[in-house]
Amino acid sequence: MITGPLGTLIRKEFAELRRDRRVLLLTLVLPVVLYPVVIGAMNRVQHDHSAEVEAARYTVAVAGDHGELTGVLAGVDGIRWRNVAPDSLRAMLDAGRASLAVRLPDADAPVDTVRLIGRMTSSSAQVVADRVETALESARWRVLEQEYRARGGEGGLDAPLDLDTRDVSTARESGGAEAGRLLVYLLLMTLFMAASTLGIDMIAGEKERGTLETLFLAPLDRTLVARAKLVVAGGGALLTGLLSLVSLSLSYGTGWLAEDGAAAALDPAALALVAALMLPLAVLLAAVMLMVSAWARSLKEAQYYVLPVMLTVFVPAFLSMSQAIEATGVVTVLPIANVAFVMRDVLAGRPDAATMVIVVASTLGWIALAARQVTTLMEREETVLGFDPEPFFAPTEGGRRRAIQVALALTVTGFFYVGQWLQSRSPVGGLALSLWVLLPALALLTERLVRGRRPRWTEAVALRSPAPRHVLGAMTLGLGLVLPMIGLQQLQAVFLPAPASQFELLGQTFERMSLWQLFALAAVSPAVCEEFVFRGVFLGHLRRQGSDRRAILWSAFWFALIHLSVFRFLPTFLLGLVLAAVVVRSRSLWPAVVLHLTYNGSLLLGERWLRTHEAPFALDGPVAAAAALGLVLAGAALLVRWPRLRPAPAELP
Amino acid sequence: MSETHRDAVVDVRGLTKIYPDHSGGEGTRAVDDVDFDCCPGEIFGLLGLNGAGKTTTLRMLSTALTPTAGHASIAGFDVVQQSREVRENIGFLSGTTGLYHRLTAREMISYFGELHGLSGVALQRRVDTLVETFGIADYAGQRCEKLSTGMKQKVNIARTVIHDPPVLVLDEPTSGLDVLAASTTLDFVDEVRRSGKCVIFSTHIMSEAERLCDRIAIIHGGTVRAIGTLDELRERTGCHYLEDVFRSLARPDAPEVTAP
Repeated sequence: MITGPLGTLIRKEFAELRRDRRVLLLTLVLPVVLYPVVIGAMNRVQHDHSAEVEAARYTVAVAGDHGELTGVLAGVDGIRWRNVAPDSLRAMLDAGRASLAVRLPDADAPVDTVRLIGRMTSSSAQVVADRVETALESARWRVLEQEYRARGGEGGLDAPLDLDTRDVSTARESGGAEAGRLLVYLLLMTLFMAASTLGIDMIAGEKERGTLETLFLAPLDRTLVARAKLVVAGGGALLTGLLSLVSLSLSYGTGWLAEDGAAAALDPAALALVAALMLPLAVLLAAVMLMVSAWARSLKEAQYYVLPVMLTVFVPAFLSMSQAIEATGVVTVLPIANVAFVMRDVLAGRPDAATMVIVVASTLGWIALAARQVTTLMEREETVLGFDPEPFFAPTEGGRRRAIQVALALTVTGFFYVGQWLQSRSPVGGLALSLWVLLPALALLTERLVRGRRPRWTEAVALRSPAPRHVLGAMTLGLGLVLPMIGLQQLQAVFLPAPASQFELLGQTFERMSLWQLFALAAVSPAVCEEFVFRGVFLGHLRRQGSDRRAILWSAFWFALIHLSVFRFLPTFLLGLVLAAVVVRSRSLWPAVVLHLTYNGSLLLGERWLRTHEAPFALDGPVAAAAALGLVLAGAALLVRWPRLRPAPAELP
Repeated sequence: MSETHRDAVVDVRGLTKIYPDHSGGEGTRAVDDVDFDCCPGEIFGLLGLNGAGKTTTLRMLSTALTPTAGHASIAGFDVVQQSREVRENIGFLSGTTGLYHRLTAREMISYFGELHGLSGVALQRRVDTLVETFGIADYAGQRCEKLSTGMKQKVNIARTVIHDPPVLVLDEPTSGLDVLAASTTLDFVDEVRRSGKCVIFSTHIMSEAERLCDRIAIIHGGTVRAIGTLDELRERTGCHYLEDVFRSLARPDAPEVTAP
């Protein structure tokens, strides 16, 4: 213990620092939580992508038959070979029907050169070329030895097997890939700097100068004020980004930025597309910075919060310099990162319209969320007057609402990462543990976070005896939803086709299980555990904090999110809506458990049954549609309305 | 609770503001069950020490803060339910309502005129009149950040009255001003009264209240301790000087004294 004036000074400094939320954020939360989470998440995505690339099968066009070399290449994993005439190799590449083309020397020709032809700016061509080169390298000396023996030991080992890799990328593709490495990074950082400079001054600056209070004395809707600030901050950031794009493109075009001084040809159409993609990104960054700005008490405090936000921009910007992460799957909905990766692909000449639509749509969704939050903050008196904002987990209505949302986010994240790890150790045991132990444990965490008065435990999770008609209705509805949901998934696959690898591991695991094991794991377990957590604990909390409609929507959203698959989001969201509505309607958790069990069970049993039996009617025909509709309507009628069986009391004279 | 004057343009009944305690406690009762009203052509003074609840009360009237309980109306409009209409009928000035530093004085006044729905020639005329009235013509083209404290206050007052509201709420308008600037401000308030407007005027400077206010409410610890004309308050407390009146009423054991 330090005594005397020095000790007094130190204790005072500590007392002040530990009461300063900025210090706590920067010294504790950032290093302990944010950095590992952000970097871990990006590593995870990168790792998943690498595994996906390794596991993927690629088509390679091959011309020539060398016997020995053909045999070597046939043994390379993950490649589908297409034998074509030598003059068709380029056509296969140009049509996008092959990731790489290989020209082998003929068998009777002396071993000469194996030529690999491809657009080496694409990651798939690079991956396949690496695999082929590795296989050929190992075969190289074996082939030479055979040649040497065939010559009866005459001559020497002086005729090496040459590998010639020829990159047929166009000048624009090469230039785009080269530029894409740095350009996207620079653009993202420029947009961020502009958005943060403008956004922070517009609210936190005004708050500090007292002009926000003055402004709100005018007869204005605060939503309008928030919108105006968003337009200006987003527009300003976009303008800065566009000017940077122009100046950087010119610099690349003249070779000024290249190490060797070579000019890179950039496709004007690609640059125009990048400029268009900057619009939603600039608005999103502006909305985020306005949010930070509204939350902070002063300009200085807002500046402290820039650092963690910058990290979420810097990491994807940095990763976009490599071709390692593809803009697919969950990456397409990751804010900021998704646009960065798509910009990179556009510059490298690999624009994908469907991906771009998802990326723009998800970015618009993030903008809507952030903009709404800005408006909500502007409505608060502490925002306008610069008072201390309410602590995040305050025991107030707002604090409890935030605690639920954080608990839901933690549940989704924790379930995904820990659950994945458990399932990687043992698919069956891991899934069972995830559902029966991990998910309830995360729900208990919610109970710890959400402070305040709550009803008795069984009441809180709606563990009430259900009305028999509600159970019957849930069962009927669960059965009736099977075919419409399959139809919905098929319809979705037209716009958003899921890769085969998406459900491969789970499918293989399920395949090895007996029917009863499968029923217990994939029908009973989710029906009990997911219902207890999502429709019991979470829906209960959400309903106590707001309207039923809002609670149903949020519980369904998080339920869909926990399945962490873009391809499963919509069906699980809709199912979540139905399940939550059933709980609200029946005032009991059990009908939702029954519905979930019936739905999952019917899917599994039906699929197994159809392997050995013929369906009595076409599942996509009118009879099936009528049956499904009938069941859904009957189930809904039982849950929503019940015909009055007792006669109405006679009217009084 | 006192009765409301029939022609009152500001009506405050049981107004209460509790600032929440974020750790789950009961919170701070900054304003507690305050009643008063104010009629056109009247200057109503809110007299109290720092932290007495004057600013909180006035911010509730300006719709910047939402009352925890009670009711207040301006020109017949409820401050919670009809906040937009309230803001159309009120001009609010306090030490914390700042100016846009990078706008010129004229731009600042014009901007708020536009926000209040003025435009074109009508706006120009109104701005010119105010620039003339407040004697800021020589500085109207200068950025607000370059103006002296007194000039800034004049611009701020011009901003407050640009839409010619029937009610003016002035929270310590002379705070930080030199003697001349303060005197100009007080002259302006007096002139506003003569034009038939209602003025709520808060101050902790007794001489200002003595000079201007038709009626005075002494507020202390969030509650109104007394309301009345200066003579009525003198009569009830037996003190001649307002400072002594205030001291006797601000005692913790002082009874509430309300004029009939």
